Amino acid sequence: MKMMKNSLALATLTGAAALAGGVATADTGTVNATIDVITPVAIRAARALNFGKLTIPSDQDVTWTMVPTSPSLATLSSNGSDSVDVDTGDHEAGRFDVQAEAGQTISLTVSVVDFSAPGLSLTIDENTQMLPSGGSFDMASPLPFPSFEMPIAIGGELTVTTGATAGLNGGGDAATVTVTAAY
Amino acid sequence: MKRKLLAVAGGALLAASLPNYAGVPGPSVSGNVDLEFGTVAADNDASGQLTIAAADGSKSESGTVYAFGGLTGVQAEYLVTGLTVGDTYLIQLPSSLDLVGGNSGHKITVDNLQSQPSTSFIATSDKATILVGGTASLAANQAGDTYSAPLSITVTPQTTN
Repeated sequence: MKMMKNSLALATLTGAAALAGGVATADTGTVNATIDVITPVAIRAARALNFGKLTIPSDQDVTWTMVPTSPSLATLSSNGSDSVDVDTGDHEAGRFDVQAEAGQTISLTVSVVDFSAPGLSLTIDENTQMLPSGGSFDMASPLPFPSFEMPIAIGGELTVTTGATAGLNGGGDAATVTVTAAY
Repeated sequence: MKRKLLAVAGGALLAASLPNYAGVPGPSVSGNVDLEFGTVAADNDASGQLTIAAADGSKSESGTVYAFGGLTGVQAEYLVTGLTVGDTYLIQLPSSLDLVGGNSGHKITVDNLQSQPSTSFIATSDKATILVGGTASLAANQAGDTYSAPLSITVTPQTTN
């Protein structure tokens, strides 16, 4: 009987000590982490993206925008004033050829690398300056052929800041444009 | 026997008069938004990494990897409720996790997991949002598949005793 009383007293004391120290109640929340890996398909560069010869104003920034309208044609416009000439006869959209099985949905991504000329920037919008647009397309099914080659045309937006003339004459500046296709 | 009954009754009365310490209000964490790296292709010959920033969900690439659909990802989002204003709470993240391909069974490791706020925060209201980003590492010729894994965080009140 005496042992029982001691045990009860000890239990009560333990409970009071825990209360004085506080109880840290943790909780855990969970979401999913996901990544979709798709498989590259064959693609080859077929024609360089060429903005042609452009007249650069000395007193204003200017942006030229090239929009491909077909695999071989593109329009070129600028946001500059009348003093900015646009040589509409000397530009070409870039072209890549994608080879993949018919019926596949092909995703496209484009990036501009190695373009570090001072005062110049080149961007390519996958939605408005690439054909097919929107970043993906369904590979046609020209039966009975099991595979098909799809031309991809790219334009871009070339911006020149005021006074950025160094390196533009005598051969121009070159950028590397990479297009990746996968399904 | 009479003494024993008195002792038990006394203990029961004491317990009933104390606050329910097991029920001290704590935070409740619920996962709201999945961490999504989006669609990506690995290079045939080289590895690459894709990082989603916790703060704004921006996506960046390193090594050789090709992100599709632009450079915006989705960072994980958790909602924490039941906070006490002015209290400090600790955030615990896993050091890494392996995403597993649903078809291939192959893995992609996600590490460098970071949260916004980072490791702790002081509650300014009874709820808070925690954002989490990380870096996924793709091997060369990583198999095409949808890779996923649960990502859990734990929020703990910082004790002040």
